Amino acid sequence: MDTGNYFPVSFRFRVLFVSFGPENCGAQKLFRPRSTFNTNASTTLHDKVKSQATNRASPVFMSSNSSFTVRVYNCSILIETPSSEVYSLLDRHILPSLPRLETVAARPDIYVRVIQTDDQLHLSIQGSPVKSTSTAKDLIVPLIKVLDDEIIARLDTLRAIHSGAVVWAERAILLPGSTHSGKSSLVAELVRRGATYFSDEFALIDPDGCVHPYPRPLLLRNGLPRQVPVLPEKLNASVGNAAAPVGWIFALRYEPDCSWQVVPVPQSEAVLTLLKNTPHFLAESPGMLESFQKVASGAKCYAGRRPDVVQAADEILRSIQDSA
Amino acid sequence: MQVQRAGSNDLKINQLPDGSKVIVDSRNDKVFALNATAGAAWDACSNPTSLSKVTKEMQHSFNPGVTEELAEAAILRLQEQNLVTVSGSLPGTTRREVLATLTAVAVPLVVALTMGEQRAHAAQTGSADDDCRRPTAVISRPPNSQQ
Repeated sequence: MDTGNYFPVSFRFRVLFVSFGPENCGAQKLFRPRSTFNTNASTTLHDKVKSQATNRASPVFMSSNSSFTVRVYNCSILIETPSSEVYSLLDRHILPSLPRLETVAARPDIYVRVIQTDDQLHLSIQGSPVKSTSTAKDLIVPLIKVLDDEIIARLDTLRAIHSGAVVWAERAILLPGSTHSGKSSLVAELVRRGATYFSDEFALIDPDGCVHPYPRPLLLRNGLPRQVPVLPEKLNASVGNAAAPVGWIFALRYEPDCSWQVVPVPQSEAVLTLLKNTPHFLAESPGMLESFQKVASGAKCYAGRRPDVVQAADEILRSIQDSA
Repeated sequence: MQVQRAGSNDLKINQLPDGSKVIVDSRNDKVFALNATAGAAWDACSNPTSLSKVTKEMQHSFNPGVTEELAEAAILRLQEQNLVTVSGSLPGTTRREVLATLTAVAVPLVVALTMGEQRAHAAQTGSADDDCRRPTAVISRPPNSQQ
């Protein structure tokens, strides 16, 4: 079960560790004192990774002290750059609530590298070029998105749903929807109102139908064409760190100037909605349908058109109150 | 007129707490979502039966307010998706007549998703920008392939 490996062993002995997984699927709190992470340990980390990587043909790890490793579920990510400015920015924005590891697996699952040539920064993953930009901050959104795909593709027991996810009263609200459907804005509005942040992009579902956090920064458009990363703490959000059962599914389509036209739908129809919003192929994902059925089994399910996020959040919280 | 389930051996059925059903048709690579009304009609067709028997069974097991018109509408929805076969002809109730009989009973609903459609949705559900070169086409890989 991958959920038990969410945090490094060394970390478990340093801070309060509350294990979580299907057997205790609940909105427990796990304190992760980010400020206690010893980023100076990156030299040791780098040396270990470098020595472990000597037998690999590629990618070739850089000679640099500016590196950190983060583990998300069953996937370890090593991020390296010679630039302290880029390092600082990446450390702040890549899965910021997760601890940076002092030890790594034999080799990282994902190797991210940013190098500078003249006035350009070049982002590569697994040795393949991904994006070149003139400023470090312009690398953040592309890196977050490419990492999404890389991480999701490496999930073993968890299944992803393209969905916003927050927790309210210890149960998750899922907001499945495609890109540009306004998930992130609605998630941001709900966390401003006190919901616990899980993800603005992917709900990760375990075999028992519980949702696990995928705490990347929110990517908000704020009315502009380009997305900007927003750290949950900027919204005064608490970030989820344990699995939660799903209480509500709202499959909403944003239409400007419309009223709240959302109706309850059968749980079976919600299952089909989840199947339409997962990046996994059903035919190749044994157990996924059963997991999604468990998600819907405990949820009140709704679908329809929504107006702006403020009104939509009002209506969602009203529906939740009414269904309690 | 006789109603009976079609291809039952290839169907995997799961009932959800609200009475709705998910049916997986492995022969035709389809997943169906039945609401509680259609699900009750499906249950009533577990053996070859008639419309009047389906109606009575739905009244007994689902809702006393079920009318013959509503049961017929449910059978038609199931027939459209090839979940049941009907020999002989149904009375031919119009949608307006069905709606006129409805009180507290939901209109029967059957929604289908083919594996091909699901695959197409999944392929579009990536996160990366179009102007990013993805290092690998990992998103379409099955989840267990890495391990």
